[in-house]
Amino acid sequence: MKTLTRALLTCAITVAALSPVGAATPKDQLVIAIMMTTMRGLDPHEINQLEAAEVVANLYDRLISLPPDDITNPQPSLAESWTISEDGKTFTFKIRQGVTFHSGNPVTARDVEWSLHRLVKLGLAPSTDLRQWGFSAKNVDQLIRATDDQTLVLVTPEVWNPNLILYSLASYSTSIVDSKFLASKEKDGDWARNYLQTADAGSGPYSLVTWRSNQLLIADAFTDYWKGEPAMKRVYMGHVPESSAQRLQIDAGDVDVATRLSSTDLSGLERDGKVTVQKVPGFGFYYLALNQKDEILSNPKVREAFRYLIDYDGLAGSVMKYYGIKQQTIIPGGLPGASTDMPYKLDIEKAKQLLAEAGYPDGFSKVYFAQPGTPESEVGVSLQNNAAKAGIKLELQIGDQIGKFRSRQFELFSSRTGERLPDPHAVLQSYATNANNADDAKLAGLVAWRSAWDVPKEIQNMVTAAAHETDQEKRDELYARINQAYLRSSPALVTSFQRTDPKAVRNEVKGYVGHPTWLTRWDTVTKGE
Amino acid sequence: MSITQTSDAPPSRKSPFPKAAAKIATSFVVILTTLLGLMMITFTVGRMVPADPVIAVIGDQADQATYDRVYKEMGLDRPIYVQFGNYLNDVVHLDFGQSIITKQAVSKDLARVFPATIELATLATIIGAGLGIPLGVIAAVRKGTWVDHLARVVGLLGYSTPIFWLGTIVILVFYAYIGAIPPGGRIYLYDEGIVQARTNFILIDSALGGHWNVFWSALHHIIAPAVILGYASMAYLSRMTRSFMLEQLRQEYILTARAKGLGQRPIVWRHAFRNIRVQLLTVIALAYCGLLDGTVLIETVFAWPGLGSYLTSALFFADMNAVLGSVLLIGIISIAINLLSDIVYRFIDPRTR
Amino acid sequence: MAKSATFSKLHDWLISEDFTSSRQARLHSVYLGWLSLIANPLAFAGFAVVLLLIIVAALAPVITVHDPFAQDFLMALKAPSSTHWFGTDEFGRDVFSRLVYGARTTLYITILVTVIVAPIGFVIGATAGYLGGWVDVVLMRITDIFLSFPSLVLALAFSAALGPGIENAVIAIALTVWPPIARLARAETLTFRHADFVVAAELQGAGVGRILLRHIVPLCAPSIIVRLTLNMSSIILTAAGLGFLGLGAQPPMAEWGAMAASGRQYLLDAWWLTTVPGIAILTVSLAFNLLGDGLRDIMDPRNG
Repeated sequence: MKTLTRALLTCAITVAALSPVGAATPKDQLVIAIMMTTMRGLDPHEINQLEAAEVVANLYDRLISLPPDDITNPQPSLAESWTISEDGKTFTFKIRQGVTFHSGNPVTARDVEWSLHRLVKLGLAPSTDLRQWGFSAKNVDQLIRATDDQTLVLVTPEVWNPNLILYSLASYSTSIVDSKFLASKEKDGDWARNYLQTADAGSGPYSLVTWRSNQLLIADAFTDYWKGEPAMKRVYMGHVPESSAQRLQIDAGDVDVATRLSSTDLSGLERDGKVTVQKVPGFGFYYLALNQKDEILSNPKVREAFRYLIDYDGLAGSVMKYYGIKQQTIIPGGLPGASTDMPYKLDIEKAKQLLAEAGYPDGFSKVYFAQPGTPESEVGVSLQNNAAKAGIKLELQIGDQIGKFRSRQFELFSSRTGERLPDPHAVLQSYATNANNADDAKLAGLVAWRSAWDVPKEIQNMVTAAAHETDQEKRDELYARINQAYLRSSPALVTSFQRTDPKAVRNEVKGYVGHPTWLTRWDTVTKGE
Repeated sequence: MSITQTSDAPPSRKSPFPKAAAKIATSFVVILTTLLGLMMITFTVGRMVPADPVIAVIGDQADQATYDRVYKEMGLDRPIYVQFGNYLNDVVHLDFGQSIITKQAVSKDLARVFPATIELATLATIIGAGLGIPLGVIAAVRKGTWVDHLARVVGLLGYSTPIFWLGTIVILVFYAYIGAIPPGGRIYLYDEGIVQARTNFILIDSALGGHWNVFWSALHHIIAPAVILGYASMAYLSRMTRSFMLEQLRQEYILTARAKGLGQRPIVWRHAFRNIRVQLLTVIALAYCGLLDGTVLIETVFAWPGLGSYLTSALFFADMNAVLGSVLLIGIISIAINLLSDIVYRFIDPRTR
Repeated sequence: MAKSATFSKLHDWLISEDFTSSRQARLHSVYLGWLSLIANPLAFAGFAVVLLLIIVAALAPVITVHDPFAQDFLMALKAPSSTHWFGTDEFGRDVFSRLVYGARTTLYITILVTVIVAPIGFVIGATAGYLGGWVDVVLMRITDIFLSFPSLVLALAFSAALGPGIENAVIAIALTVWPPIARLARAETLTFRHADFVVAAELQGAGVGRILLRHIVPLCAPSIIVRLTLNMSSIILTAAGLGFLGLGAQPPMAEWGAMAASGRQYLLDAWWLTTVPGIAILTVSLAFNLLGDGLRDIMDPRNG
């Protein structure tokens, strides 16, 4: 009879547990639902991913900050002020006094020096932010130096547009870490890399309490923060991978902010009125890459045909509603040289005609890799369907195939990019320069190289010239020309939408403002009724 | 030229070891080969995964020099048998390497996530056994009646339901429409960081710490996934119980007991049921192993931070060390449970002694 | 009247045990099986559903009005109506049509896995049981290694390693399904190993292959068929589970598990996307279980 009693007991517990649950997040705490699977480590000089960047943005400070609503206007942060020499090569920063790290150590120019050296010498993904201006492991000791505790001098090997340098020093990758504290955490000359994966050594408004990968992250307010103690005493980031689950939770008030919702769920939330949806513009595109080593795909007419196979309007009204802004040129909206021209629309007949002109009236078959997750997978399925109507049979494989793209072992590939500098150069560098198209050049950081696209020299030269140009008016004009030239070249990288990152925020949460270069801050957040 | 001389003496018929020792030695070899095979499978799988493990470490935009350096660091340039050898050596030292996703030692990760799965699977087994065994007994006693048919249908339904789908529907109905259960996860996010982790079993930790609100939160969260898993194991257990009971009820001693005028209840529970207890124990052990399977899907649906979700996310992002570690752990647990139930069966059941 | 008279004559001929030919004897046992199948309403229901599944799969283009692959974003996520019986999905595709075509996928996977697994499992199991000795030890060791993984975890690992795609899913599932068949075949073979007719055949000089094929196969067949039928249910569930995790059939192919999974993204606005394919999986899987259960009572009473 024991089993029966136990069965009854179990039933009783079930009934008890099924009684309604009340839930609302505490007033002085912020709960954010994200998808955490791609968050790998929290080392600011190593990460390369949106969610981790948001955490790093709050654990650390940088020399300069870019306000989310005035993104191209550099503001002082840890650097109180700066001067630029006449020749445009030497930047001198005065470091703010009285700022401390979470450890209690004061922030000095030595820490800045060490942090920037660390970024360049580790040479990981985000180091591009400095390396692209000519800094390298060899020269960085010479070119970036603290002359005293309060002064940092940075000399660029060439003259660049000064904004590019300042923007770089606002990127999460140039976060300032506590060099004294980390000295004790260093092992075998690893720059404390192992330690910083899961810990923080910053001076930002929040300090890390716990991070359990794919589960949750807790950060507590730093009481001695130089801008004053943040209102939210504790911030939770929870791993909620499902869009519908995020929607349910933000709707019920179990979370305050949700960042991985499908367009359908976002529409539903907006309709219900408890939530405001921010469409944070990003500096990157949804693109389709056509491998130029492929005989068929390197035909300009075939490349052109694909531009007519994307259902721009259908996607814009459904899966891309919150994830992108229609954009068929190469400079993101809001930046110098941007254009609103939309010369292309879904036109199967036109595509067929182009294919016939190219010599493929009966179409062809190709393998097509698309990234998983919304909206990338839907974009892939839609293209596959339209291509089939024009006679192109695409064998769609949805999965993490970025390695094959990097090593040029693909036929068609689609994904999205996101750059860290609010400047056309960041995008163009990757999409429109390819100094050496040979396989062994391995310029794997550039999507143009990955697509084996030998970008017309005319465009490449203009891109380089524009980055060096210090006269803003001339520069704007140059970018407008590049934009048109890129469009006319029938590029191997077909852009369809400018990336936007939607964030659903409950109405009572104020001051959570999505940042275009991923530096969304929590210290500005307050909660009303 | 040498000729090998064959010994004239017949091979010794008497084993130098006592029988029991030989038996233990054999089963030791058996376990060892199984483990080796297990590792061979996990290793092969790990090398076959199409996603690039180096990219997973360095990120998409890193340059080629970095790529080449990390490739070497990970030992991927060495011959495959060397890699397997290294792998074996590491595993023996309980070193499953570092996870790419969590940046922690996989063994540490497993120690963290596994208790969540154990907690879920254990509660599910309690529910499954608590309901399934009585149901099976009743179905056997009333063979052919509506109770029996009902038990059969309930059992077959349990076998046939796609568990991930059931989980989704339960969330839709009980969370979205009724609001009776939490949305998934182990506790509410804002209850995190309160309870001191001693055992990593949140129910136990919160009770030990006297954090009763967290305890209730945890109980609320575990009920739905545990009931769904419990249903699956109930289906299995009730059917097995029924067939064991039927076998017992056909035995002569039951007929004798009946002839002696013993009541139905003592016959069923005191005699027949007592005799199937050991068999049931093995079956429960098997059901427990089966639940490790079910947890993979149900943890994904309920965002349960256990071994199942750890494994699936590792799989998708080519986190080879984490995949191999968790698959190996699941394999080892299965072997251990089977072995244990085998031992119990051998030593406790009087008939096999 | 004449018709029923013919039927009753046929019935009498089939039921009669005064066989005049071996064909009659064989038909007799099949007929008896059929009679007991109809007598068991649950098993018959299972049989009917499986039959329906086959018909639906075969006649998919005839049954459906809409193209299962035709997209139309303007029609996305429409609730069930008279034109779209089960509504439309996120691409505006007709869910009913996709469900019907999904039956093909399900059947394809189930049959292919069974066809692969039955001979492999039998050969390994029967060889181990018949030859014994170290062959038995080695083969059963391998079987046990595969058995020691929970099947979904193993299938998951393999299909992740092989890459997504329906053929790879089939291989991955087959890798997890053969061991129990091999175990069963071995156990069955052992019971017949020393039977007179096997020994007689050996004395006549029959080879291993011939003995296995001519003498062991027919005897093992009933229990293996029962086991395979019951297995089909778990094949369907595993396939759906893989599809759910994105490892099975790739777009635009319609597969129930993947349909249920992608529908989960739209759970709150379009309940039908997840519910309908889930019920389809449940129904078919239940049908195979009921049928297998019934067949066991009929064909394999020893293990019942």
